[in-house]
Amino acid sequence: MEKKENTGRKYDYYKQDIGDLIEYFSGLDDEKKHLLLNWFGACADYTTAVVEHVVYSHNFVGNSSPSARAEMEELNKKRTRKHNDAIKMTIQLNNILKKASGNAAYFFKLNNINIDDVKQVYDLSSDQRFDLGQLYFQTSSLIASLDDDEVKELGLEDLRNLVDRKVDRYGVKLGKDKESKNVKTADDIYDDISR
Amino acid sequence: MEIMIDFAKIFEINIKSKVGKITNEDYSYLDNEYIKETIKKYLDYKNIKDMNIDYENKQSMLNFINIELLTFLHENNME
Repeated sequence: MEKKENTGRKYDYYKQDIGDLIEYFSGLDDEKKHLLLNWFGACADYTTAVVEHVVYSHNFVGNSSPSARAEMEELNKKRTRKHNDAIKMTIQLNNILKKASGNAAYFFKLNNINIDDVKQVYDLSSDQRFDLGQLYFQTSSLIASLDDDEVKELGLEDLRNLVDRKVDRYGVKLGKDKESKNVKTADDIYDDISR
Repeated sequence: MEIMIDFAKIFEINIKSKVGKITNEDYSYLDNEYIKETIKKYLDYKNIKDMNIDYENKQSMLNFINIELLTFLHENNME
């Protein structure tokens, strides 16, 4: 696929890129589907960690007590950890996409990010880290902006449902029995598995 | 400025609800009333009086939070 001509809104192109990514992962096994869903979650986690760090950095200027300093260091570590978590998943995603032949194969290149030779987090340059950070904000923003119809249209709902089927293996009733207090819902079980 | 952390948490949980990564404890962040009150606190903090927000439409409120948060990140982003 050739790079899309930039004649429309960036948001629409990026939404299509995410749609291509979801479509490709829909045909893969559950572990890989989980990876994509976890990646979206990691983008959100990173965004929150950056906001927390930035807010406390502002507060820190007016209060450089030892406890404030310790809190700042913790938030800085958390931000780095969340960034690294997202980067590790990005490297895994990219390794999967290298085997793809459809539009999804170009996901990172379309976003002007080249991490083909990157095997570990510490292989990244600071520019690459910055670019990936921007990608995580952009991805988070796009997913946050989707309404229910768009979640369906992009295939995100199907992907989520396909992964949710895994809970059947745990012998737990789903769906119609949802209202019973003794029966866990798919969301309950998904949480248990994820942890 | 701590209000931005409240916005970030709503933003994060909104995303996780869409990708099936939400926990039971997280649902409170997506409560209409909680989102509405958080936006009102933000508008007070920023001293914004003339913002027209559809408080009956959750996605509309989430979109407002999304935009404000991204603006905040662009203004303050280091990485």
